Amino acid sequence: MKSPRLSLAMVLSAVLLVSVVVNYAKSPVNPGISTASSLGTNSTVLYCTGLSSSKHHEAGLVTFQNTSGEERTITVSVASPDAPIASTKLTLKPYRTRTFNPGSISNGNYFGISAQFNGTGVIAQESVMNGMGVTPCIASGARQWYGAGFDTKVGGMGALSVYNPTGTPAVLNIVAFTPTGYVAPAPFQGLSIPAHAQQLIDLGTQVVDRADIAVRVTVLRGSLVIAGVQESGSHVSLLTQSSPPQKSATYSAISTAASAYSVIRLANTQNRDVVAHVKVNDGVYGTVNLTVPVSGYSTAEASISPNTAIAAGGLVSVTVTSKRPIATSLITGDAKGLTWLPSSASSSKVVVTDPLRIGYQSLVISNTSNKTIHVTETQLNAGALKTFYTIKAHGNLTFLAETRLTAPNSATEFVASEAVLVATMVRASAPIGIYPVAPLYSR
Amino acid sequence: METRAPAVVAIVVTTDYGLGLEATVASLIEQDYASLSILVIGNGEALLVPERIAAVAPDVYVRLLDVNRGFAAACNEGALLVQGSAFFLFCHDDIRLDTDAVSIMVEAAYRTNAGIVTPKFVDYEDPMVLVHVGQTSDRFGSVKERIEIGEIDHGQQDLERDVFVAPGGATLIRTDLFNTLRGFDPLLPALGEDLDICWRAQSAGARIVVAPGAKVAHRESIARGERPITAVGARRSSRQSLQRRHQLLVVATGWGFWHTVWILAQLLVLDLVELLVSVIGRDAKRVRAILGSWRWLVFHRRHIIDRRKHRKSIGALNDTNLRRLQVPGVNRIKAFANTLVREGYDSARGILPEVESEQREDDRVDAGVGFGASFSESDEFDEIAENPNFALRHRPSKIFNSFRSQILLIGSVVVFWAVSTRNLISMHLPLVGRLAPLDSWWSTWRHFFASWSPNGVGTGTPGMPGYGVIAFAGTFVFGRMGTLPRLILILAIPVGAIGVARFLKYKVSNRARIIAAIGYLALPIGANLIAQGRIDILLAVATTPYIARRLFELLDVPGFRVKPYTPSVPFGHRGWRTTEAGQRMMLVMIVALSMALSPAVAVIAVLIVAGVWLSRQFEPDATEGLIHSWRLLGSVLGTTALFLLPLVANTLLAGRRALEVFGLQRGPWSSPDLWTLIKGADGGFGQAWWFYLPPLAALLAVVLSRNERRAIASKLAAIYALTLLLAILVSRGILGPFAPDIDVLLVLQAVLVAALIGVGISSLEHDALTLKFGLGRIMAAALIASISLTAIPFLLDSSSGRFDLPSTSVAESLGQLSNSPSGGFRVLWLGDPTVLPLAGWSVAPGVAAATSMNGLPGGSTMFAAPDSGTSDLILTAVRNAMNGSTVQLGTTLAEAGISTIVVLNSGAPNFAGVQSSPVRSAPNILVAALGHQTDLSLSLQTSSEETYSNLKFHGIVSATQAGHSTTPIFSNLTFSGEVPSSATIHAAMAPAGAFSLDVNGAPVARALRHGWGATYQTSSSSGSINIGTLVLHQFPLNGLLAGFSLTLWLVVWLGFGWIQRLEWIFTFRGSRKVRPRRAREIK
Repeated sequence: MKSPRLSLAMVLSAVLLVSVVVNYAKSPVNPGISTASSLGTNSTVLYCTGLSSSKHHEAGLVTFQNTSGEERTITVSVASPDAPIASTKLTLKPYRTRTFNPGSISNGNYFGISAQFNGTGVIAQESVMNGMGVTPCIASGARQWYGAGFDTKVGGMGALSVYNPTGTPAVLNIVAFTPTGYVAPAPFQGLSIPAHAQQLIDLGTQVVDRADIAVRVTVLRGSLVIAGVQESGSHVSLLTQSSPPQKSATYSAISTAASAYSVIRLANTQNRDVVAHVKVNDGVYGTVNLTVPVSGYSTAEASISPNTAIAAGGLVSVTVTSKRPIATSLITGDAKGLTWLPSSASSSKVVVTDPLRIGYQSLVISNTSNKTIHVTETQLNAGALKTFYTIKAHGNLTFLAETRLTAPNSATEFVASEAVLVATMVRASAPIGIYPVAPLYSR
Repeated sequence: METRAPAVVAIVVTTDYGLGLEATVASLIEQDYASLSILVIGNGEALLVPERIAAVAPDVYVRLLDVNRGFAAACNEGALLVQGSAFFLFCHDDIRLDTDAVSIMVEAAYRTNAGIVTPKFVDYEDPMVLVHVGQTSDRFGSVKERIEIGEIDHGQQDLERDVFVAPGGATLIRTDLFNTLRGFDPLLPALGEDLDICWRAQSAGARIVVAPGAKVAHRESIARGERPITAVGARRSSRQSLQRRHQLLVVATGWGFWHTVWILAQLLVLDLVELLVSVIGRDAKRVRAILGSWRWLVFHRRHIIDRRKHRKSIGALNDTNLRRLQVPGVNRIKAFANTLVREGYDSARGILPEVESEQREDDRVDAGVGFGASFSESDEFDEIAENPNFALRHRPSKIFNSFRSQILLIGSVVVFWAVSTRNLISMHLPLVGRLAPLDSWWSTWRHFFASWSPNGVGTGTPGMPGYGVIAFAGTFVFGRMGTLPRLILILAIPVGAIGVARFLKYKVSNRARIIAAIGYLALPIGANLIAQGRIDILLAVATTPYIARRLFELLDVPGFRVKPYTPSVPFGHRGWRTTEAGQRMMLVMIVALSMALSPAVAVIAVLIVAGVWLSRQFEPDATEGLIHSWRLLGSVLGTTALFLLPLVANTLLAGRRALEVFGLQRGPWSSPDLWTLIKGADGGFGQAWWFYLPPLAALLAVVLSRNERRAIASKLAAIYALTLLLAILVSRGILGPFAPDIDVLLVLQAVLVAALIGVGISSLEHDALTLKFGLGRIMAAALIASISLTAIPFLLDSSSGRFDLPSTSVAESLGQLSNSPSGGFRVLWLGDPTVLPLAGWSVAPGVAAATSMNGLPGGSTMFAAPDSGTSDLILTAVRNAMNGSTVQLGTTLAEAGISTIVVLNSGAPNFAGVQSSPVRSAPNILVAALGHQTDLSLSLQTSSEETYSNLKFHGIVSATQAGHSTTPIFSNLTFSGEVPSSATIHAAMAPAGAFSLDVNGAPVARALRHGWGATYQTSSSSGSINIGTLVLHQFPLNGLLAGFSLTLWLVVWLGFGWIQRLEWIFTFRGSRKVRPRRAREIK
């Protein structure tokens, strides 16, 4: 029989062991801020910026869609550098959409819009080019924002639309990365954006006549909603979501049509050179690997089309990987102009909708993980129809045009068990796939 | 037989007291050196010398001197009698030379060209023990042995080498050198003549070597005090005096002029310090010796001048070269420090040996050896050989064992603490922790009795008992409330340390108690609590040891109940305190007092009882009349609840927030992890690795303890383990809303560690005797090392004089908070509950919320009832913002009159190199959420705080008129003023029913707003000014409750004998003196 002292020592040791286990079992982490640039259906406020009025180019629109079964009131506030803040209230019935033109209540040229809802379930998207370019509105301001693929060549305009929806005057720095290195123009340092104000910052005023520009916006005080605005020919593209540097980025649908122009623009925001590996997966012809060196603090591009190594004629899936994080974006288009799609971090939820009812040619959902996942599709309307899919490792799930996904007043949510989903929709176009549309993501 | 060996004359100086003369002479006769002559000098009092010499060596020359002028003068006299010798061998009369000693010394003198040769001296009784193998000296003439006391001769010193001093006994000196030096200085009758002649010889460029091959046994009868010093001029002087003044003489004449001045100045400082120590130690003999030596030096200034001239004439070495021959440093300081550490003050102050044979004898009997002996109280540990040299070698190392050294230690700690807290006395107290300026004495009482308090948006819950305690304490400082926080900051830890010492009373030795108490002072939790201004928990620092002691006593832990409880003394009579009920009531009152400021102390009581219970499950105590642990706990807590009725009522009203009474949940990311908890470091102090040492010492104490100490150590260890487990569970947020303040748990942990250190010392005193060599002793040594090293960081950390309590706080940067001249305003404070300067409620882990009214926190927001009540609307709004459910937090908060939101990441601003405060960041999600609000404007942002202005603010009391915006009305201070007509008045004061608006003296009808606020509609009136006042109308239920609690305290206090003492007031009779003074004397 063990001595009493030994028994007590064992009990106390067990207590201490439990303490050690508790100490290491639960890691104490200060809860971070969500980096999702747009939320699915749970926001009570959304911000849309980058839109311009018909006086400038064409009327940019915001389309609200109520995915809930209750009526929602939307309080819209429109800020513009050229006009005072204008507000209005909209009513949105259950499962309905409503398009709002900010120029209808404001006389300004560029707008920053704040839309507050009296409940959840409302989503909003900005659209340009009569709905061919669609990008989500943003749920919260950011302290850091990345965008790759700006162009200030003659005939185009690369700009940042910055909207401060908060009551705190914001201060920001902008650094630009070009193929020859980085520039931090003095006029772009310490910029102040007053509370509830919107401003358009033309990159071309300081980074003159350059293509393939990436920017990093650091908000020193406050938080800002930022959108990249790129005018190229007759095309206007908006980039509301940040393209933060990451080691892996997936583009589910990139056009390789004969007359299409598709490039991945890469920006290395760190001082060490990095090599990007671009893996082009054409379901029919196999896989093509490209290697693109990117010097420190500079940009480069990987041409997908035209590219003699890649078979022309369809949509391919592209994965960009590197040992160190790089920012990427997709530039695609034709001789008339170019459109823009940011890289998106993988998510567990994807929401697709077509509130303008223009229709998609296809929707491609990619599994970025190394294992097979199960995805649940849910119709966010009264029916709440659920469908289940399985996507293999690094595989795609493709929906063709005119499916139920584009039904009127309908939004569809795809939910995976892990944050490994990336989706891209493309409008019907000729050549195929030059109008990619970013879906809504949420975490 | 004719010889060619150089002539050596051995001069033996003796008196009738020389007991070993015959042996000395006989050993000289036996020398194998061919050319040795012997001259015996009878140095006064030597009538028997010729006869004694004749008995052993009839051929030896004897010269009798009339007067004993000392060894030096006698040698000089003898040298004058001799002609033609190459060497003199000056011998004491208590030596015994080996037969080849002289020849080896002469040989060494020739081989090394030495002027002076000294042999290897060994013990007279035991030739295996070395006594001297040459000596060295520092620049102050302080002689140092080259061997350890009692070192055994294994031949390890048998290397011929240069030494600085040839110790007296048998010294071979070249005759020409002796003449050049003018012999010994006759002014030095005894003790020090060897240093003097060697110093002068070195200055003259002569070498002094030790010839270890020549072995001489030396009795050292004078140095040991076996015979008196009878030389003229030395009879009235103690050995210490002689040694001091001779050293002074040597130094005063042994250097160049400027060097002498500098060295004498240093020596003067050293002597002054020693004088001070001697005065403190009431060592009159030493005081006399120090003063006498300098007086003697001044008196013989002419002789000094003469010596200096002679030195100059023969000097061959300059001061620098002479210095190189000596040892660096100050031997006296080294010896003092070594002895102080090893043997305590009593021995240390006697570093200049005043050897007393009786004392030595005592030591020999009592001494132990090694570390065990150094802590042995029984003094019978490991007796060693009979040889006195072994006894000398193994003198016991008794650290702080005597009463005087303990008093000195305590005095030093008191002085040190006074120095360490010096700035807390007068510095401006910053707005950190619970150091918000207290309200006046009267106002603090009012807070206790108040029917309404301004916490949150206002509450009508009972006043917290903490206000009562503070107000009561304020009575003893005559209402100078500002002194109370300072008193707690300065005195709480020392009072707790005394408590630790009392905890261990009768269980361990006084020395162990003192070391444990000092350990409690040195543990980082106290310093951290001072640095963070947590006076609420500092009270627990002071009381926890007393709570632990009384709980142990009531639980009948062996050794804690020294006397049995006094049976059956009626309540109110003298002696009731010593009954079991009285003792239990004492415990209850201490617990209640502590809980009033820091309710988590209740958890401490539970942990102590649980730990004792757990320990007893495995090691039952053999105590009779064991009280059931849990019943006792229930009884104590139940009675405590009665004393704290307002707090209990608040807790019961709090519903799901009831558990938050013990503390608010901290952010796991800023809470200490397990290892930091073990170090007890929740703050800037104690982060270094060496703060693991105290818990390590505690662990070793548990392992080493035996017998009755083991019973105590086991219980302390069990409580420690449970405390640590609870602390880590709380730290990681696993227990949800039950989050007792971690710092309170660390206080208990500190008490346990300190107590275990005391037990560990006691174990060394008693149980180390049973340890075998090996792991046990290594652990004991580690225990000693751990305890010793613990003090070092404590000393380093206390340099600021305020334990790094910040000198500035966020208050300085928030000076502009009063942004509303009318209507009143509230400031919402958000952040980790430990960095907020006021009490609040939990919003989420790591976020507490509290409000202050009309500016910075003050005495009225020091405590908050656990029931958040209506203030939940603020908490919910903040939570919604964090969830992303709103971007209009300002609009919601404006309804509560909140003008500003302050988010704190640390209790005070951090300025590198100036002040630091632990960073406990608010959740990132909170900061982000506030940044996203459309109606908040960030107005100040630093690493320690963020301040947001509410763009929608409209005052606590505001008015809305048709077609106009809402504007604040009424004075900030009185909530009265002009009222606009035909307006809706909003008052963000909860509960709405407690207030009424009187306009021109008449009440206005009230309606509820948002379910909690009040709105009043004023009538239209033209041409007249309407004056309105917001008036509190509340039945003083809280006051009655507070009054009941106070009465209860008073009654119980009277129960401690005061009813009997004050009996005469009611009976108009003198107090009965027939009763015994102390009830425990009743038989």
